[in-house]
Amino acid sequence: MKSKFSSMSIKNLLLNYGVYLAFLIVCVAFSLLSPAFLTTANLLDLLRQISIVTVVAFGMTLVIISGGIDLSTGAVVGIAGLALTTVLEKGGGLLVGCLVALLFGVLFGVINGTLVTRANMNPFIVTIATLLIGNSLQIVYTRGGLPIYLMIPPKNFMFIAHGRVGGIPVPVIILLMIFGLYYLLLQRSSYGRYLYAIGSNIDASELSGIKYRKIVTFAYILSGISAALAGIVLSSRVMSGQPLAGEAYLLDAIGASFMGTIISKVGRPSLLGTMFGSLFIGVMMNGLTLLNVVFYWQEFAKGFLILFILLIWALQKAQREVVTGK
Amino acid sequence: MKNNSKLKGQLKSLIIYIGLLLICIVFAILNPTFISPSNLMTILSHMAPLALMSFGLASVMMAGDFDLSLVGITGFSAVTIIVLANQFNLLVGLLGGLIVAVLVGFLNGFFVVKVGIHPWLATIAMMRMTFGLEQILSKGYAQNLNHPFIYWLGHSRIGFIPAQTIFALLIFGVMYVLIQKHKFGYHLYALGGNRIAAQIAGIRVQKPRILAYMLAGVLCFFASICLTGTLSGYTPLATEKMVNDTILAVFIGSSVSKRKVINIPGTFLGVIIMGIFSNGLALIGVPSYWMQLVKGILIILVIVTSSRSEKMVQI
Repeated sequence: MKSKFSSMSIKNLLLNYGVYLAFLIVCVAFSLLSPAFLTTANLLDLLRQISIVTVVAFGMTLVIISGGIDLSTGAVVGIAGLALTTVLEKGGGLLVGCLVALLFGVLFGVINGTLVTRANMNPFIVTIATLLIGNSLQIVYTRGGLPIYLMIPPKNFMFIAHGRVGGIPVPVIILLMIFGLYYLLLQRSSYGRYLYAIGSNIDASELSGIKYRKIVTFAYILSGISAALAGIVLSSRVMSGQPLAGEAYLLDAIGASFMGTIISKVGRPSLLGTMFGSLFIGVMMNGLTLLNVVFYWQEFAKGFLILFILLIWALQKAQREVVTGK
Repeated sequence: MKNNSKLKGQLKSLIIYIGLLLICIVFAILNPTFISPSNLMTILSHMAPLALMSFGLASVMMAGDFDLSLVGITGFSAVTIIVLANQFNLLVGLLGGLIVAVLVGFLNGFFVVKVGIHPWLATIAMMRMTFGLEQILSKGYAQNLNHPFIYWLGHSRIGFIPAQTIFALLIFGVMYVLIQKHKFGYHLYALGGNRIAAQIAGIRVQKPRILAYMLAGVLCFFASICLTGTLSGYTPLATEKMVNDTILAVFIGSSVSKRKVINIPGTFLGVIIMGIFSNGLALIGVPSYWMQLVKGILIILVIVTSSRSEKMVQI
């Protein structure tokens, strides 16, 4: 306790609370620079914008808790959209389309989880390979990248992304529902405890009888399902199936999850943290757009921000290892 | 039993050459243009940038690290060369390109080795950043560069071999000596094999790895010169699709070696295989997007066959 107190220098304060400060500064700066920033309409828009990437990031968070990563979400988002629009184009119902889309998410999760836990392959390599395969499948299926447009889109299809219930956009409701579900799973069930245990020490958890293969595979499946759900919302938003649509969300989801890790005191990924991370990145991009910053500067800013998050994450990790004497 | 496994090992290492030969024969039968001298030279000249980047990735991966940002560095360096060369002269351009390439390489090394960020995460963020920078510098437009030397490098031949292939072969020679015969390479191998043992043996853990990242930056600079030569300029994001190719080339290189270690000659073989595949499939009329699917499946196959750890791997 004493050592913790004496190490509360400015550096430590910045490492632990600097992110909140940065968020505050960014928000204040944007509201001063652009009058359009701090309006109800824009803030609701902002929430709707980040809802897709946040759902992806929630799934990613589960996988990161288990000590892995899921890069294939980038492909699943696009595949789910293509699957849904294909079913709708062929005259199938919305429910069937969504089920098919979610099944693709499950499929990717099963493949990733099995390869990681049974074939003992590096999660990075497994999921980057499934990402590449998923991306090329989309290009092959759309014959070089032609989007699927719907001639007569069903009304309830449009409702998923554009509708409102009691003034709140439907994507935001979906976001909150997924948050609630995963929160219960992580904090109020044995599954969440096991998942955290595996992430912090896989040997110890295996020795204490946790079936890590099943639990980790299920995390990958949930990640696939979240990505597919995000793909459904996205395709409803653009009213078409766009191949490779998920590429842009991948790095944001990773960044959001890691930002969640750096704001937690013990350095563990959490859903609330991920939510905050996603909000931070969303505010940055929203503000830069309002200020008419060209898109390629935004790409640079995003890369820079995420590298900065990783930097703080690594510094905190090193600091904790000093404190715990590891 | 022991003899049997030895024979099996030799057969296994031969299989890739036999397979390559068979594939070449199939390509040649389906489209005779494939074995025409001019097409073979095209394959050779297109290989140069990929080979240079793959050598860089191989030297980083040897030490147990990774670099996804190499394609970004190449593009950023190419745009820097062109912008500066058009503003001042070629020498300033080349110098500027070299400086930014080495600088980004150093930053990668710094973040991964000194700070301790996972190499995939640090370099994927760096890749996006460099792609952003190359679009900022070029404002998103294709850039032209008219300079006799650059044109010569991209389009002329020495004897019958393309100039940039000769250039790549020279770098291959240097890299072969540096990695397979020099102390630096041994240190990288030792660090990749067992970092703690290497440290106890008195090898500095950080310096060679950072140097490997910077070396990869230099190789990307060379690759960007070749690329500017071929294109007589550069189109932003032209290198984006080459990520898979560099990874695959290095993995093929390690899977053909007897002890399954990453090495420079194997990587070169991997690049040649990639070049023959892309060219051959294009000539027999397979749409380019199928090629990506084949590559993705190949990556999985190569890794599944070469990985043999016993416990789940965590990042």
